[in-house]
Amino acid sequence: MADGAYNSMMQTEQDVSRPGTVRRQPMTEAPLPGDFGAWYEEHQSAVYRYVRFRVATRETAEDVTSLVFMKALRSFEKYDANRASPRTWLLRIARNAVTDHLRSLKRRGSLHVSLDRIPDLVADVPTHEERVIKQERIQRLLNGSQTLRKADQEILSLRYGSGLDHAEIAEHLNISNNAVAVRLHRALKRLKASVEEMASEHIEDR
Amino acid sequence: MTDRHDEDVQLPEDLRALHDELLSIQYEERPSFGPELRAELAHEWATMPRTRPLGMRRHLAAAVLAAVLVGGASVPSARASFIRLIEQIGPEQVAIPVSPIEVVAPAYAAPAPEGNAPVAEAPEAEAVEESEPPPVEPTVPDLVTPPVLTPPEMIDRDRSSRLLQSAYPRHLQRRGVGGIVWLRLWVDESGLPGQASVLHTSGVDVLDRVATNIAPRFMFEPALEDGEPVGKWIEFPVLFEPDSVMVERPLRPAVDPLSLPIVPQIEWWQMREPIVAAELPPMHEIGASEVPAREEGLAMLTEAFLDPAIVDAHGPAEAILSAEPPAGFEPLAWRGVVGEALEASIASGGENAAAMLALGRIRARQGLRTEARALFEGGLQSAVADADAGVDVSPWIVAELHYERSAIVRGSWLSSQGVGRVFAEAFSEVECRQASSTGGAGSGYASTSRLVAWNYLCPAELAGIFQRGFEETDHGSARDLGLMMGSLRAAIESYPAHVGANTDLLMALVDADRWDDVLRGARRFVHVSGGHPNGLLLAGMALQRLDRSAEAEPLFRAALARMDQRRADQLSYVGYLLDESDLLWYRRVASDERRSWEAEFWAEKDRRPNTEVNERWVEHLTRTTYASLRFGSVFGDAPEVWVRFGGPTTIHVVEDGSGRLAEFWDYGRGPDITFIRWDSSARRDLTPEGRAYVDDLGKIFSPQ
Repeated sequence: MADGAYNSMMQTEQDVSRPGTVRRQPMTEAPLPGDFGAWYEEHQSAVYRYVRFRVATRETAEDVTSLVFMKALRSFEKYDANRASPRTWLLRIARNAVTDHLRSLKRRGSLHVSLDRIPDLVADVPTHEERVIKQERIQRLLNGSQTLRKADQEILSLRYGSGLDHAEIAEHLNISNNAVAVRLHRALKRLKASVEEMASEHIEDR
Repeated sequence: MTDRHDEDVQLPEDLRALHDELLSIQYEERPSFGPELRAELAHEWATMPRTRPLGMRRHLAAAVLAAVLVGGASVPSARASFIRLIEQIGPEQVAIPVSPIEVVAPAYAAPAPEGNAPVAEAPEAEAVEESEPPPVEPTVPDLVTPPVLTPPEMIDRDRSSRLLQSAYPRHLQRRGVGGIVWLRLWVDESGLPGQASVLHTSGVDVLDRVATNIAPRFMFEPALEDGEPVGKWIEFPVLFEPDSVMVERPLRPAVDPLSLPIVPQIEWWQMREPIVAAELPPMHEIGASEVPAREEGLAMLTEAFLDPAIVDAHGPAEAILSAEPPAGFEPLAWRGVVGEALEASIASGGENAAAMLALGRIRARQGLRTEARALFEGGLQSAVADADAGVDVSPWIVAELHYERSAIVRGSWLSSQGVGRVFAEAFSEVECRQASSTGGAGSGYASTSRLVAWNYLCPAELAGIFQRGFEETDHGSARDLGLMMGSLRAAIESYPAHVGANTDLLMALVDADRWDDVLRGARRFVHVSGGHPNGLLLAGMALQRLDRSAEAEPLFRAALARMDQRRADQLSYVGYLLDESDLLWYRRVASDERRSWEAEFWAEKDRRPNTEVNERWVEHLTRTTYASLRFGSVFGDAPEVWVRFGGPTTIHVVEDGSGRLAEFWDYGRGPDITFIRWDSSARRDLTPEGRAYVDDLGKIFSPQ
């Protein structure tokens, strides 16, 4: 990315808060049904991060996340606590929404989803150079994860997007903790191979 | 949440670095995004219609149903279409204007809605309306003015029909078993269907299951309410209609192998006791009983040579008997020398069954099939004469002679089975401008290339052309089949555990859809052979086709565990079902990792995870088993099509006199899939048009 473009993008994001700051005002003015408000407060971030891990831009992640909660709200009366926890339910809706989004890109012919605008994913890096290097690296990781099979993408998004731990992933996928460790291990291995392969292709292209 | 967990510490160093990098990604949301979205949600909730009076719900249901079904009005009538979505709707349902369609009242009483889901009312549910509780929130303003509703629209009804059609079990079609299943399906605001449930059963469990399994794969444009996409329940019927032509005329094969006079009562080799996978004898016992008989046969062969030194120079005897040169010999020269030595020995009175078996095999490999067959038959006569003279003849050698004879006849049966020609006059009654460049009607027989061109340019016309113009060429396929079955039966009588004879005999029954016989024969084969994998695979296939997948699964698993890695890899191969990126991974992984990869793959595909058996995996093994036993491998064009799409409804084989045969595999819809084969070869290659078509199908359909 050219420096100019990078800087102008950064200027629009001066208001980006840093981790640890309180970002959200308590919403008391407009009611949401039952526990939905509490669920939103508790899981909105995990859903957003899950989505952001898999889509190209922050704007798309916002659109998809909005869709997820709208969908959840409309189906709220159908939610069955015996079948899934609220987080599991929301993340399942998110998974379907991401799949739909990627499918619609495919239908429109945009087969390749390039993660080329990722300033929102790099924070806490003191210098501009380091930031650029880190951006490139993260871009490569996320592009690499796009080439993995769906099950790998799913587990990586849950772990490194939503930030769930093994037990939480196990509960979400209804598998054992051990199976989570094995699948994550394999997914990381494949991601590593994919990133390396892309890097070597990049060098060959030059 | 992004702290390192204890379990992550177990990662190896290189992956740990990657893990840390991934954890270091910081997801910064736009600060105003969360509050904005929350406000939107609150607004949505405040204006969301949550409960409607029943009259309104009925109208919505009517519109939704009408729309789904109207989509079908323009579907062209499909050839051999034994499934379609019915274009029917109850008269009182047409409350919201939709395109005009024929109105026919469904002939059933819909059951009351289940659960608390937003259920569309059934057509005759007038009485239910009065007994329903009052709406929870009667004051919601938009209940007074009906919203403008655009019902969901099914995308690509042909695809939906094809999906259903491919899952309609063929044995039910053949038996004429059909029915109507009424389904209820939730289509969400993005057009994705949820789980389907049976509103009214067809009376046939299997058909209900097929319909509920397939319906969630239909595609829809979502319903629109005042221009906004919304989720809606829809109800619609699926008709499974057995094709009358198919019921009358099962095409494969033309002759029932068990009805031939040459095959007497075959009950003796059937067994009714089920196979218990856990009780199978250990692997090393397979073929153990064969050893003495085999040694006896090898001794017979050694005795036959005038000059025993030939066995030392070109042997061992096993190699000579199998006609396969030992390492280090050039095959053609080796067969020449050994053949001459055998011929000389036989001519000088050393005529014994083992020598004739060995020489027959050499001749068969040299392409001299007639001579080979005469030698096998001569060997059998010699064995009979020896037995009459009180000389012991190895039953294994006798079984091998019968089997080799059957293999020669089998080749001729397979190459002539169902082969015919098409009269060019058959083209005169059809109009297809796209194909006019392929030539006029003419006279005589149509060339195979012309038929292939018509198939892809004007697929709807091909059925008519075959119906009017196909004439089976009599190559005596019934006689060949009879001879083959007789030889196989004799081989099994001589040596009950004979693998090739049992497998080929059961495969002939598979092709005749005699699944009960296949099952009993396979049980016996497993029993006498000490659990041979082929017997387990054939029993598994039969059980799957008899809708007993739960019993088939342990047999398939036992078979895979009892065969060598290479063969197990072949039978488990899922490469045809993967998209490009998955295939890349699949090809890379080692054999052991491949198993767990496949297990995950099938677990994801399991559409009924609440059942113990994964029906799709069992179906897949049935297909790979067939491909492997019929085509010799799961790799190649014909196995690929078989594994991806299952067996065709019918196969027409057309010859044009050049020794080149064209096969037309009919799947009921769309063009047939076309192959070319040479009549002397079992290999089938897709025509270029067939290849392109199969690749296109792969892009359109999700596998299986």
